[in-house]
Amino acid sequence: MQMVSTGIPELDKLLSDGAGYPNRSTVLVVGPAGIGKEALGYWFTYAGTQANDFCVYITNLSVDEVLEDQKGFGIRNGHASQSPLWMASEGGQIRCDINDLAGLSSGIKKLLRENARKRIRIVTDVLSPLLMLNPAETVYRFLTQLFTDLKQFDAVFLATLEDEMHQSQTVAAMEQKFDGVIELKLYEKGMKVVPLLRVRKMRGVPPRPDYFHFTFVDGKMVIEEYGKRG
Amino acid sequence: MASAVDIFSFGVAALVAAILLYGSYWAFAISRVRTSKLYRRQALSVGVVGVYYGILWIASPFTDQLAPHNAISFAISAIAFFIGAILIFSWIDGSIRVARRSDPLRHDTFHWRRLRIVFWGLILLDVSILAGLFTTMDLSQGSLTLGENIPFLALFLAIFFVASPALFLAARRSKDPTLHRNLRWFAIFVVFILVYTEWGYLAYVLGASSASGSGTYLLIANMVALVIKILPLIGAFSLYRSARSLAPIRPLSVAAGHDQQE
Repeated sequence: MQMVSTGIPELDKLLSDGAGYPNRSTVLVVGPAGIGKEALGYWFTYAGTQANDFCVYITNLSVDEVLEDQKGFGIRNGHASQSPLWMASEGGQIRCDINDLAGLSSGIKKLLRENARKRIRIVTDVLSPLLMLNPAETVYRFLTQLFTDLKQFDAVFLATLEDEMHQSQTVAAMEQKFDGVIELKLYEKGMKVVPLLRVRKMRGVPPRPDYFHFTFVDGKMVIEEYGKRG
Repeated sequence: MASAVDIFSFGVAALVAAILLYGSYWAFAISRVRTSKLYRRQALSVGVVGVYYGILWIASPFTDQLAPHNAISFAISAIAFFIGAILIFSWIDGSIRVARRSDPLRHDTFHWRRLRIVFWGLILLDVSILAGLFTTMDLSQGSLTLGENIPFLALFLAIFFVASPALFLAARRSKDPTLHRNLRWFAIFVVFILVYTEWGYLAYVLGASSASGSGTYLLIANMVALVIKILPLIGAFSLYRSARSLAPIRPLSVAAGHDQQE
């Protein structure tokens, strides 16, 4: 199976011995707001631009806000060729209107067709806002159609979801829809707050129920195994 | 020799300070693991507010003894109140920006992105006026002129009538239950602090009059003074709850439980 680097060597190793996400897969990163889910998307597109893949970042934020956020993780998109194509609410090449699901879908399809000869990486943070504005069934249908289209191309789709903002059934339904689910959560151990990461599932990769401690040090994500299972 | 009331007051003050500092500890712990600058800043501002009021509470029994009610103690209280207002505004500013992140329609409530610049400008103006007053006059000699008072009054009124409603509206538009919990507990903290600082004067007056009073009046005055002294405990607990609700944190046993199920 072909794999696509996550842009984070430790995560690549954790997923499939240094290879990354499976090609033609959809990955969901679940966790509370502000924990660093977006960082996985930033590094994924950053690694993609370095590898000359076609990268799209679909966001409900403005491009300036995302760039500011990226700086906090040590990512600086220099030349335009090192930057993804922005589908954003403000400042992007294509305007992202989350009230227009049909427009969003046709916009992504058009980009896929136009860049069919390249490997495509799509990262988005619009899943939570979409679920807030639309019934879960509508978003589910939208994703079903989108994923059918995506599988025809050499594409990897990564979305983030703020799980605390939605009903647990909705989150469970979304997790089922994706090929891979990475969970980031905060846990309390004594007087400490411990951020832990777990790969809940990944298509073609043996399940690893272990928890991993993650931190962001000097613009890098450091992932270490957290307490082996007895 | 310290009376029973003094010992009780000191005990309550120490307990309030301990709860505030414990709340701050959690706010700082959460800020360390938050990766987004906005969320980190919001957690930091809760922590700083806790430390600030914690120190004030530890110091309060001593300042009352060292600086009796005169112009100097009034100036110190006014400055302490002003710094507290800036810190609370900093939290309001951070929270409005966090609320916008979880608003699916991304409303810029009250044009906050621009309005916040006006607020911080006003704070800078007030700080420079205060710094000027320190270097040019003896604060113990007199109060501020009407002209000097206007920027301070404008700041307090703007926080009360513009920033607070903006936060309320932004929070209603946000779909983040964690943010809602944090805002609710912090709002309770602010209300209790305000009630205490405003009613503290009432308690002082009642306490002074009770010395000459007797019977039922003395009993009621003492009870009111006691209730007012306990108010900060509820406020401090609210700040602690606000700090704990900055992010959803689960006990590690939940992770272990998941592990075993699988």
